[in-house]
Amino acid sequence: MDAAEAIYLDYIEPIKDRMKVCIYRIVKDPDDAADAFQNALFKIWNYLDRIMNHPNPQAYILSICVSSAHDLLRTRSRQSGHEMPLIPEIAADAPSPFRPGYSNEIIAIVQHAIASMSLKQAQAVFLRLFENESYSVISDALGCTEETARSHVSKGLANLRSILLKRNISMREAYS
Amino acid sequence: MPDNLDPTEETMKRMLQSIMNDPIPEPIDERMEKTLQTFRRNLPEHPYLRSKNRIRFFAKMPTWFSGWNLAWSASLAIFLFLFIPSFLLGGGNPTWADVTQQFKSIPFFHATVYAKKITSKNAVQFEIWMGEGGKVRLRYGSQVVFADKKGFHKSYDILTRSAVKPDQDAMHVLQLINSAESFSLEAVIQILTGNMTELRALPTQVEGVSDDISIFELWRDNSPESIQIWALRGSLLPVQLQQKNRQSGESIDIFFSYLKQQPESFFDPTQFENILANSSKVPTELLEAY
Repeated sequence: MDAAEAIYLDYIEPIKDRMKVCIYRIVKDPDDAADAFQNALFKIWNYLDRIMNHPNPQAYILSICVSSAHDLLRTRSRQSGHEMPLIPEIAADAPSPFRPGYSNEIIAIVQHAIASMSLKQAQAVFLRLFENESYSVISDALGCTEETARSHVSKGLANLRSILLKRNISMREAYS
Repeated sequence: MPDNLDPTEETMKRMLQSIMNDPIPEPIDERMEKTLQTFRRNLPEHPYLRSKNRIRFFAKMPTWFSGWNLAWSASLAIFLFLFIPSFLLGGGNPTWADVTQQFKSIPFFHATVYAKKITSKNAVQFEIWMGEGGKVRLRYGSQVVFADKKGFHKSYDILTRSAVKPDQDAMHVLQLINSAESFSLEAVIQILTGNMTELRALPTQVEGVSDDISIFELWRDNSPESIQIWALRGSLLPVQLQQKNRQSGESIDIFFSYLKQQPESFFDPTQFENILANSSKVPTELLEAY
């Protein structure tokens, strides 16, 4: 097996589904997800030497995926305006085609809340809540201390909660 | 082992998962997988794995490759090295990989380059024609310079109608062209922007022409420099590259055209010398390429 194939099988293949899901769940839109995934691969290509020398390559790769999705979401959010749903051709109060049962507006608000987080906060929150990573792994991925990783998660969640509450979306309402 | 979530995290996790944890639709998963497998196939071509000589090449860059020269040379280099085989291929909307792949398939092109040091200054303009076999003809001011993969051949001044020493900037361009096969697009981007480079497709919808154009942006965090590349969605060909430095006002605009494949004679310095010596054409007519 050559070195390139070994790198792929060691670092990427085991987490490829997590990479895809991680991006799709953030951006939702099919074309955006494909673009963000390609951008993530481009970053992985650019940072390959760093990844190979990273203490936790797979967590680092996942953080890159969050970064790509977050970038795209921020761009979309800026273009759409903060008060607009991100999928303008669908009525704001219509059920989301992506998540039956949730209105497009709620998803747009959550996406706006995610976009409003700093990159580090978004990476930390998603690694923590969706990838179930420990603070030790998150700190490795973000290149910071565990304490800082905790702070990113805490501030990110506070930011998220604040935006949702401002839009009158309580935790219970959102997932009941 | 992950440490347990605290109650706040657990609540937010349940909420976010209930909204966001839907599965990927199969067609999207297939598109992503296709992109990933292309990445996998191209991984052996990665400079880090394949050749450390390329990295050393940049460490040995001469001093002219800095400041103003770096800016416009690197912009030009990015445009030139779109010919380098791409390493990513995506589906759906035109991707950067689609554009590089399509541009690579075109055997010729013409580009007009405008470079300005500050916004209010007049731009330096030059033109490049590339033909099959790596043949190059460059027009810089009143100079016409001929080269190919082996290097510089001859240059002429159309005003004096004589062979002259090529302008230094023109030679920089030729050096970049001649070294095109020795380094990758990724490495060129590193020259320009360092390790924090990100190349991403902007999902910009250009009012009125949004169906026709895709924009790709090259940027670096906390940097005043940015590069944007416009490509046609239909043909997938790049039509414009623009580099801007918002602080210094430096800018480079490159406009691509694919109107006409020039004949062999167009790249032949001997034939051009004969035209210069014998033709009754006025100098402006000598510059006419189309």
